[in-house]
Amino acid sequence: MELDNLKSEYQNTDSNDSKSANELSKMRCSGSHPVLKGIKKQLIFESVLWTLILIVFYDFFDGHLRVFYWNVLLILSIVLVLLHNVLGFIVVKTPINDTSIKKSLKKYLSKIKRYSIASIVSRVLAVTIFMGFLTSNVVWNTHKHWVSLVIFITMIITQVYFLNKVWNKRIKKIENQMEILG
Amino acid sequence: MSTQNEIFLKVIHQNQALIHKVCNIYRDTIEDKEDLFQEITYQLFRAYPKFEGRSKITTWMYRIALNTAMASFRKSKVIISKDKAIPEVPLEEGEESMNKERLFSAIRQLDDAEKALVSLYLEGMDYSEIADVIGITKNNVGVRLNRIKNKIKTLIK
Repeated sequence: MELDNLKSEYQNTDSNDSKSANELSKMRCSGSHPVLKGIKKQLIFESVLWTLILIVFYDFFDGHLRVFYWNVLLILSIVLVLLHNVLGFIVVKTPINDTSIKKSLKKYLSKIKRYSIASIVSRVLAVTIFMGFLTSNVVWNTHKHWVSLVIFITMIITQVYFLNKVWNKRIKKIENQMEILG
Repeated sequence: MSTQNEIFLKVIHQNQALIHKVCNIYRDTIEDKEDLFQEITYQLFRAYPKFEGRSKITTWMYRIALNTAMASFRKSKVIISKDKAIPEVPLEEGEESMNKERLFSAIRQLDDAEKALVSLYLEGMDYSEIADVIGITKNNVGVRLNRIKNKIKTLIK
């Protein structure tokens, strides 16, 4: 079977799932975009969760007993996590559009590389600040010092490892495609 | 809705088979195809204000659709088997339908970048047009398409 002979069959392929103009019109909204919908849900969930934490953290974590700048840093770290999600939303929302597929992929690759760095840095910063906040009133001794250090390092390494793994896989996928295109 | 959007909605409606074909090539399950269709349509609407009319609207639509499919990170829920054998098609189906199914099954086993090249070729674009859309030289298109043709021939046999 020659590929050239299959051209007309390919061109005459019709879908059984033809969309109406109304259905297509609805797809203009980000609410119909499956990935954006997921990010939106996550954004709303995390925003509500962190807002609740911020409202009650004075009681939960004795915020009033801590040095003022730790409270400010905690708020900043939460804002950082939410900003990171907003940035992800923008990255997905922006069309991958240049004069050619190769140029588009190249532009997109540098964009996701930048976003992956922002993603990892913001998570590490947020975890560091949160740990710092939780331990800011601790009366330290050698045992507590080492235990918290082990917990902190384990949390950071785990975060960096998994985030790096996810991003590397995505970056490799785009790089491989560009390599195939030559 | 603005007049510009209304016009473009008609264009998408008339050429939606193009989007369906891209979805059929890049996704396996009905659910994933539907998701990709929505992603592509959304991106087409977003990108349309920047369409300068330098190429045919369908060529431009293909470029956006392929870009979206290639850059999408959503994992398919069903892992494609990389077996060399093409699934058998029920005997009661016509020869054309059987050929089409075997062709799509073979294309789905190619790399994402190869899928883009072969879909543009099957759509009837010449090497110059494909070179413009992909962003590689005309010679490079020829070399890569020959390799892909051989691959597909082996898969369809």
